[in-house]
Amino acid sequence: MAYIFDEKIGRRKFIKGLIATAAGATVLGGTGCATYGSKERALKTNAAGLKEWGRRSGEWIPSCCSMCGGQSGILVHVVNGVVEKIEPNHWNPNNYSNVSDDFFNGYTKEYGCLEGGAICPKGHAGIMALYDPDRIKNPLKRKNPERGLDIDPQWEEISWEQSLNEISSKLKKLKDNREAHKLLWMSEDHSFTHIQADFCKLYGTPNYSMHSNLCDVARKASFKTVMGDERPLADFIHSKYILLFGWNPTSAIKWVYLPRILTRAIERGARLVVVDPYLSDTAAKGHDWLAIKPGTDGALALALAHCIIRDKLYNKDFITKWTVGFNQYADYVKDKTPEWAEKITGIPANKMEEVARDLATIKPACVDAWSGPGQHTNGVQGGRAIALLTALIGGYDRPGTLLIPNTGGNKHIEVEPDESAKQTLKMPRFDELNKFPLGHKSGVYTQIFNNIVNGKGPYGAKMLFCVFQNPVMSVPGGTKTVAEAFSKLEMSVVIDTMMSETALLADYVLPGTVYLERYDLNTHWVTWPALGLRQPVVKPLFNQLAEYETVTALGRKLKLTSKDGKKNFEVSPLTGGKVENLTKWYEDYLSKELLEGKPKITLEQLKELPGAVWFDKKGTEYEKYAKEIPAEKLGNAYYDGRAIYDKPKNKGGKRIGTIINGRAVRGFFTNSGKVEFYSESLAKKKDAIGNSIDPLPVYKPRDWQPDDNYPLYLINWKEASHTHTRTQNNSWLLEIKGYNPIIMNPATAAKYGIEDGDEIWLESPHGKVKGKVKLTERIHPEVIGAQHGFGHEALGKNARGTGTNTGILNITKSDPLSGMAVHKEICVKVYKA
Amino acid sequence: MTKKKTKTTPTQRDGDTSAKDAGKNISVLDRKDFISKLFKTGAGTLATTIVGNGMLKSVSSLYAQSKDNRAVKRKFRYGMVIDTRRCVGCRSCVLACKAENKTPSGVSYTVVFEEILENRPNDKPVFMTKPCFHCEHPPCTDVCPVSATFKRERDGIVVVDYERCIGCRYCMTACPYSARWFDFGENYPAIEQNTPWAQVPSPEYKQFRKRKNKQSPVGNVRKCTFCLHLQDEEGKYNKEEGRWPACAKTCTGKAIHFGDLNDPNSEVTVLLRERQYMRLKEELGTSPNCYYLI
Amino acid sequence: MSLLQEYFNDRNKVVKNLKLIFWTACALSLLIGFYGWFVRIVDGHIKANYGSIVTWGLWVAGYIYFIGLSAGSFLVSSLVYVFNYKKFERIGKLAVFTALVTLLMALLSIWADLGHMGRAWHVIVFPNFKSPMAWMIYLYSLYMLLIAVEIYFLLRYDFATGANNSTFKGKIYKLLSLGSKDSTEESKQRDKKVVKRLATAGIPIAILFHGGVGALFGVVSARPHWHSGLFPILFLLSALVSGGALLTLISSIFQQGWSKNKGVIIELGKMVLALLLLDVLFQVSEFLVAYRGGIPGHTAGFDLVLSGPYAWVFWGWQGLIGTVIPILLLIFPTRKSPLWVALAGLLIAAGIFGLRLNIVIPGLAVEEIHGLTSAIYSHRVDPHYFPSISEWALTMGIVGFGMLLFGLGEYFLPKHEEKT
Repeated sequence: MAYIFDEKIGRRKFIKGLIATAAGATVLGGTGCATYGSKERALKTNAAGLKEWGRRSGEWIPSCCSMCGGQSGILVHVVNGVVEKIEPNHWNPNNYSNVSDDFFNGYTKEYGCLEGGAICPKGHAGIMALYDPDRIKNPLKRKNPERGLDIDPQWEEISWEQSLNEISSKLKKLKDNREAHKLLWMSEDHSFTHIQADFCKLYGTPNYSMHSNLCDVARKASFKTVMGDERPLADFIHSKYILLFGWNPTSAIKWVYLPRILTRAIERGARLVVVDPYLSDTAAKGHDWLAIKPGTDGALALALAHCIIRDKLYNKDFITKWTVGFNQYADYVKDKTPEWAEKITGIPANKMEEVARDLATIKPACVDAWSGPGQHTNGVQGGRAIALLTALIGGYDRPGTLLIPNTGGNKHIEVEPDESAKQTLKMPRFDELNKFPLGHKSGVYTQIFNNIVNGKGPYGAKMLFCVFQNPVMSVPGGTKTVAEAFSKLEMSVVIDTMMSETALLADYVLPGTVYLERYDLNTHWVTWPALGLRQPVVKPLFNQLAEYETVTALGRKLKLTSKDGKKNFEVSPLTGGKVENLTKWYEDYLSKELLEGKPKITLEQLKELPGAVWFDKKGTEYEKYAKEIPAEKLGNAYYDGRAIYDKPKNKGGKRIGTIINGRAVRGFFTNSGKVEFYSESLAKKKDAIGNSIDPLPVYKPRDWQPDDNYPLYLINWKEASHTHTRTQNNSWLLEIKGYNPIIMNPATAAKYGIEDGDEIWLESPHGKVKGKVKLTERIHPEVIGAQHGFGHEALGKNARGTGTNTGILNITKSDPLSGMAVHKEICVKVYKA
Repeated sequence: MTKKKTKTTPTQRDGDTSAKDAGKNISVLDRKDFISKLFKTGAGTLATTIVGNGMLKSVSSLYAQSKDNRAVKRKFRYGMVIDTRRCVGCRSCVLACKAENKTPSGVSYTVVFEEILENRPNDKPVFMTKPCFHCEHPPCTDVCPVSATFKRERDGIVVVDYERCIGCRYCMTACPYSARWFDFGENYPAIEQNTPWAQVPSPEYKQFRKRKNKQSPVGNVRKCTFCLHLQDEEGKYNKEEGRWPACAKTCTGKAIHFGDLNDPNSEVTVLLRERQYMRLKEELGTSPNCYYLI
Repeated sequence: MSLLQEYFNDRNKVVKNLKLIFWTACALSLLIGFYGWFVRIVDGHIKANYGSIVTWGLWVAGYIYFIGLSAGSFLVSSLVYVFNYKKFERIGKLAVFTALVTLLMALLSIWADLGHMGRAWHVIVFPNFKSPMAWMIYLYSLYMLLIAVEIYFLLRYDFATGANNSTFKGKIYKLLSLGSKDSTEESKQRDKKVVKRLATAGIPIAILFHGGVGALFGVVSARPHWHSGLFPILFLLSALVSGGALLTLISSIFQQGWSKNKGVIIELGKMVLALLLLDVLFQVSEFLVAYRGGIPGHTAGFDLVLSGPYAWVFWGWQGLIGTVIPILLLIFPTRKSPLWVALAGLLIAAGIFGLRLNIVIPGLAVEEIHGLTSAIYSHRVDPHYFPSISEWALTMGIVGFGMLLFGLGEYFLPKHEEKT
């Protein structure tokens, strides 16, 4: 081959060639550009992939979410046994609206509600909860007798059989010693509660508690005493004026219909005013934000009442017909002027005048409150003052106001314990619930742990079951009291999906199921009866038992029998025959509850309904309190004074009405059958500390107030991104909220020389904790706060060490009326770390 | 090209001629010819604009017009109308998108940001969800050195060809809205530790790619596709069948409206007729296909 | 000072020590670089610290830096081969060689930055001529070809004559001569003409492609920090400064070093000083225009440069080390000492790297939409960028690679012969 630089070819030619080649390449490139460059081209597709994984592959299984207690409807796409995606269930009213005219408008069997339902971010992230690699896979037994949050439990993996045998034999010993009441049982309150209650009853312990007393029992108590219902629901979408005290419905989403109905109300002309120390995401949608000092909501409500009564803007008709004690109340608020309240709440008096005037004149108006005012020691009375505003403007159970829900669904068929169980069931509850005049059946967690730690209570507790909960972090001051309490028990069992801080302290940890692996019936918090099915969409990943199966299996090992002598957990509740399979047994259990309850269908029939949702076609009824009770219902009724029950109270009778002016009407389920401005029944009672109770919603400052040493209020709240202390290991949720910054006003920060993004110490007399500061004017200058739930020391690799657990700074304490844990009553000082 | 072909009537010139075509004409005619043509066709108005207002302006407007013409010709013009009054900032759209497209850690086709406006007191935020805007004049596609990203003629969706993209990230710098994301290859623990979820492929572009070490889309630039894998053969979506962008489907405030902006009766078009709206960074001339109702 | 002077007077000792230092540094850089490349190949981009906000980092800054060095040194060489500027004749070949080596370094840097290194060829096969990057790729491909050919013709005569030697070096020369055996004086003159033509053609290409790199940033209207008509010019100017500065250093090390190249180094120093002052003027004007205009989006990037978390890059690195000290060195009598000039060159060359970082990163580190970087929690949306260890290591490796090429060049390539 001739070298190109040999004279024969010549350099000139070479260069020419070079240039030609370059030019050629450019031209080719140019052509390439014309062909492939700017022009669109089809992207390759994967037909096999589409067939295997596309929307038409696999199954779409209707179910209900349980990432929080909201239980929204979901459709789960399962392909090859894997949950591929979760989408909203358009047939479920919980995903759309809490009033039926809105939900039924445009509803079709084929598609569901008109605009389609919704689920919140947590709903989507259920996939990551299911497939979290940090989940507990096998039963674990503690080998290290020492307990503590920083002590290695030295877990030993044991078989299910061994764990159930060991646990049940210890339970049996306790029961045989006639100490069944010394078993404490704590459960989450939305999932498989009935069977746990049954177990406790048949075993013979009165100490079945649920987590409500960490959440909203103060609100329940307030409304219960004022208008006889624990949980009235706000009919936002029909409202024209919405006043919210310490509630963040668009972000602290419990029911996912809330963002839609609230924004839709504003769109239709409603005015939204939010009372909150923090300009919450809901307040961001509002027209006005009243930055109130924590724990003073009651004073504000009283001042509003003062203005309304002074200006005679109240609804005279409603007050005369449907309330008692108005005169005492009017007397009491006579001197509760806006000027008086301004000093307490920090809200300008003229603002209060404006709000009071609007509230009473713009109709319909809706006043509601949630955990903000409730989680303080004066929460119940404050809540009563708020609840009474609705009565003042005559707004209960009318469109656009607070509605009395009708949430019938499945029916808990009460079991009858046998004699041996009855003996111990008679014992007082360990948490001394009876001392709390407005206590809720969910019990008083703070009292449980305080009693164990202090060796108090009616007797010594010996064993504890904690199902799907993390009291170490969710009970105020729990890192100290709960941790100590666990070391004083003979046996503690935690059933959970994650190695929570509480699980870390237990003797046995049993792997639980994520909601996609199990059943439940979910009655929905809409204003007419509706019920959705939760069903397993995949098999439990680690072949573990679902919680109800664990309970059933323990019940079988303990041979628990009901009064009629039948082995309750072996005999099918539906057919009466013996059922070996644990899942099948529970399916029968649910079928029975459905057939006896409102739906009157079996589990199989429920599965066939669109979206696996049943709802009453009658829909929302208004002004139910004025409705006369039909004669046929009165036939079997039981009368207790003026109150009417469908059955005798001791046979589980439920209140159905009241005799008012000689007519049997529904009325309100208070003593008087009317809304009570003045509660005679309360006047006779004492609170848990032994103080007498004001029959009027008297404002008293909460116990713990800021002082020179600890000058700042510390509050906490919930956002759409996480559920309590449960979801902080969820990879997806961490991406939308990775930690909880300490929210602080720039003015406050300047006072302490703190800058945005600084690490600071928060210190109370009970402890100190570090946090990262985020400055914003969204918070009252005397208040700092953070989203609740972060600051884990366990739970999983993602969760550990992210964010701040402000519960450390608190003490384990409840409000003395309802037993509500006082999460928001903390005062701190702050300084740079 | 022969002279005959370039003969145009005045009406044609005034109407539809794109600058591109005009450019071609000029290049093939010699100058003299061109000027005579100019007079013959009686484009006096054109001449006056050139003399009067500066040629650049008229040419650029012609160019813009031609681009808009192209837009009108498009079969579908998909877009979003996002109601800032309804958006509550819950970020459900963010995770719905993640669940739909199986995006990895650090890649989020849509985000919700909190705009703090100076004239609103107390740092009161306005929540805005921000997918890719699928601009009419996307600055990102022009800069791609290998034409891996382009705007589709049929529906205006800006896509990325994962097979061609070299991962230079120039398009990311060119996007004024930070709508593009680089896939660094990071994974969620569920995938890293081979839970069953690890075998679930991303349905993007109907390509159903399983996530494998360093294979596309790892090392690619990724972005919102308006969930185009849910379109049928004709390029249509169907809400009733659930074939609808994941973010719009799940929105808790029902703030995200999606549809064909070419269709005068679609939900989005009606909303734009009836409500006040804005688009982000209009001054850049990108002409986003996502509108914010205010 | 006198001790130092004495030390430098003992030339052999110095050369020996310098050589040792040079090769140690080279080996060390390569070793560190090996780690960086290993991580890049095995882990992809996971260990890199840039993200989806600051999408370009050290490697892109390195790329525009090295490519600037290349363009700069090439343009200096063209002073010799096109304009027949005799004073620089001694380092003409060295300058072209520097242009080639730094170009290779630049390409390595940008190659590592690609998400898919294996797809680099796409840029040739699927070009998009609307993209400034595509133009740049074509231009520097052409430029690389051109430099390679130019070097060949610069050295062909030496290769052809050296190929007769049967030593190892001779064999290498035979290989490098591509078979050309023509060692006549006539062929030498012909080579010279070819070189002149190539060098002439190279000037517009070098200007275009490096201006093109500037344009690559300048056209991005989404980034006000970059979107400036001055950018292509500023890039060219900084290229000339950095290229010239590097050459002062290189010519003090290679081609018998500072002792023989004294005159060239001092001349180069003068030129670099002038260019540097001009460059400063341009930069200052960028700042002034931005701040006088006062549009927040426009000034945000400059705010980051001047007072952001990495303001030290501007004030310390780019400003003090890269500008003020060398300007003083080049103004004061030290300007007459080749050693001090070479040192100034080193400082300037290093300083321009700071400038490159300050172009790439602040332009990206400004949130395009307020609140975007806190919208999701991921380290990939962090506006604060500092290169990771493996990023630094990889760049070190590229530097080591460049040093290796220089070292090999010094050993194998023919020396400049003095002719009188």
